Amino acid sequence: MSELWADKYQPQKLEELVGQPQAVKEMLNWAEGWRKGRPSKSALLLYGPAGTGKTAAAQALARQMGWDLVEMNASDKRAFDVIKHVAGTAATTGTIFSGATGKRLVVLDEVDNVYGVADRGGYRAIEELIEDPRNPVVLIANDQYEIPWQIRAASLMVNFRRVQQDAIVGALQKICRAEKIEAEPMALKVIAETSNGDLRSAINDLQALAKGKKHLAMKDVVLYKRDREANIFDVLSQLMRATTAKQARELLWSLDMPPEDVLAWVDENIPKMLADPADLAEAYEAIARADIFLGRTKRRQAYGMWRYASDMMTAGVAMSKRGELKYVRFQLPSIIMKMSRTKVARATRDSVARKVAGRCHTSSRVARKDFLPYLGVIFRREKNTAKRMSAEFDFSEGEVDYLTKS
Amino acid sequence: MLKKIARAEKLTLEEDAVKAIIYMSEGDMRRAINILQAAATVKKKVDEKAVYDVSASARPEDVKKMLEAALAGKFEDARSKLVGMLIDRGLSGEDILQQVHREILSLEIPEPTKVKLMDKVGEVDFRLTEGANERIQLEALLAHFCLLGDRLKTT
Repeated sequence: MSELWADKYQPQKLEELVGQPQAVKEMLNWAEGWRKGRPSKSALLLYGPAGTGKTAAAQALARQMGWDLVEMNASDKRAFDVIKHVAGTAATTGTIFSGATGKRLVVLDEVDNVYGVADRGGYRAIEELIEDPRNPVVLIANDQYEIPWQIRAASLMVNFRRVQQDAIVGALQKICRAEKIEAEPMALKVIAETSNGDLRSAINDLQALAKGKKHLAMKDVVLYKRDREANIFDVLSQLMRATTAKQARELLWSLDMPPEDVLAWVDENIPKMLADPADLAEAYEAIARADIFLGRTKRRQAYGMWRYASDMMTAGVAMSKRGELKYVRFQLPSIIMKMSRTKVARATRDSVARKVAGRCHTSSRVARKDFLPYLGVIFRREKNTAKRMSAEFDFSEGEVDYLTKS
Repeated sequence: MLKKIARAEKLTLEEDAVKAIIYMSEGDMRRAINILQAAATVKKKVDEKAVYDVSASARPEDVKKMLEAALAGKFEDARSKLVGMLIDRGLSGEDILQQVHREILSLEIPEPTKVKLMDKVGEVDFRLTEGANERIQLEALLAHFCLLGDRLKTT
């Protein structure tokens, strides 16, 4: 019972991996290259969010190909002593277990969190490892951009995506059957939805929820889901206690929330925590920069820019703290509450301004400032003139409504 | 001129309202007359409130209070004033910034500090033209006011 289902139901073969058909295909092709001799790149770099099957895929591959498996974690100093050893003594002569044709698959996890980044010693060791043409290597990372380009260029990049909800539900159903648990379909759906594409966390959730039960109902899950949503509060309080940029940055990973919303939460609550005006000004500079990056992301459809926004709203804000922290009770961002009320009004205001600007040969800004207030007066007072003007400017019903009430 | 029109149109024009119109029209006579006419359609008695209600401008008083709160280190207070203008009155960030820019000159702070603040206002204005979020950028500006206010206190 103590065994984790996430381990117990790991894929035995790559084909059993849930929800990553493209990645599986690429990995099998690469492995086929080793069977025939040597693929053009001796290393795979599996990257993607947590719980999407990167490590499971590497293990399944080794099993399937009959390779020995050497697993290490790049954040561990000892890993690099092993790497040096492995890189020097390739398994070309075979190993005890797999005979003369056997290879040794080196799996290095957390390559975006390498020990000895300061002196680049860690990365150099990895470069040497993947330059050696004799051993297949699998590198694993969450964030590919944390990895030097030399390593990325020398590896075959395989993207692991967030697992689709249907695929997660399917996997959970299979486990329920095997564990003889009767689960309401909606219950599984909610678990899948809450996991945000993280299959491992979905399986862990299922195990935690169904522990000792024969039946899993929707109501068991709903309470649990509410727990998870409280998460933003944890993130906010941990954010201001983070001592390194990396720590602050990683808090976002556990959060299932679009960056605009996270920024609204940070914006609403962080100022209340900072007692020192210098800290406050600096934190706000970071928040403002995050906002600029979000704007650029949206305008240019350059979603890579998102990560700088995330940097600023987490690490930027966290590192601005030097003085004391005040205890506060976190609040739902007022902007979210208020904006949803006025968003429509603002959009209408701008569309009216655009129409007026077009007819009157002026800018929207001038139209909004110099014309709209007077139009409002006319629409409230002179119904007939208003009617003629609506026709002239081609105002919609909503726009007329806005002017009459403004 | 405004008074002449008011007499001809049989309006009661209060002294405060004249000041407000002059302030907002920035020497633009046509604009001044337009403001007067619009305000007059609401009520025959034109007072300061009527003038600001018909124009999409931030009331200088409101902006001044917001800036003074920020300089006194009351960030939360300044922020709620800002949100009030942005959301409840529906003003644009640019309108408020314009007002902030004019108010800085009459604040009781050292002249070099004013220059620093105006520079900051310019930066924020540029960010808004780039499509940044009005509320966040203006909050950052207020936080900067807090910081400078704090430095003035300690020195």
